[in-house]
Amino acid sequence: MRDRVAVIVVAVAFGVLHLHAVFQGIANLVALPSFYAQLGISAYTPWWLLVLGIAIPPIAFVGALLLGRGRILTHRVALLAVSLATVNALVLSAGSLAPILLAFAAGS
Amino acid sequence: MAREEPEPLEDDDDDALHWAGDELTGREGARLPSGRGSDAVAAPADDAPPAGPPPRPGMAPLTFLFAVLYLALTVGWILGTGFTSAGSTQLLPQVLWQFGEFTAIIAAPLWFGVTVLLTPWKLGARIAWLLLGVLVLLPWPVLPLLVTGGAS
Repeated sequence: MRDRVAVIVVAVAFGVLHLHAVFQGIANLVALPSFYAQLGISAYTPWWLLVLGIAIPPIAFVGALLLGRGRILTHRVALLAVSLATVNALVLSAGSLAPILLAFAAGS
Repeated sequence: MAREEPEPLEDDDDDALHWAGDELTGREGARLPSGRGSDAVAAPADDAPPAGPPPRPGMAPLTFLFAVLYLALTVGWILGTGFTSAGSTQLLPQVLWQFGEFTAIIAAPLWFGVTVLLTPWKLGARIAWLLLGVLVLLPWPVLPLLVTGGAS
């Protein structure tokens, strides 16, 4: 019973931390198209990147939960930590990719 | 009053003070088999069952190769986070952004460590997960540094 409670607490804690990445993705989805529209380059909006920014955090979180099923608590925590770190790395990557994609699109 | 001289200890008595395999340590040392009765005898070192399947040939060099790759990824992320900013001067967004940068830096060593930990004898699974990690954790923020060649 105590183990189950610990698993739930860990999952909720990492879920909240993953939520921050989701909020960042939503903020990008709201802000970037209007910013591109102001610049007159709305045709170059990287919609797929914006959608991935929202979709990847929950996918990674659920994936880590599924991979951790049947494992000890330490391994579950490790998997969720990898998921969170990877999601945050991808958030930074997306922020760097957007101007690169824009440069490529404008150049072609 | 006659005093009885103690009998000298024989070699057999010395042997009684030792357990079989006392001199052996680590994997070579004898282990008591689990789940047997109290009359279980420690098996000789050669007959001791291994803790798991033997490691696959090529696993160690491939793991080392990926360790070098992941080290490069980590260095890339350390350099790359210098090109990102929170875009806000408020405290909470700054703290959250710094936390995100920190986790991004440790993502590669975490991925490598957890993959090695959870795939002890599965060569194919280990290589697949490590390859996926390399693709996912490419440090895109370091691209400006590569393009400009470090000139600011």
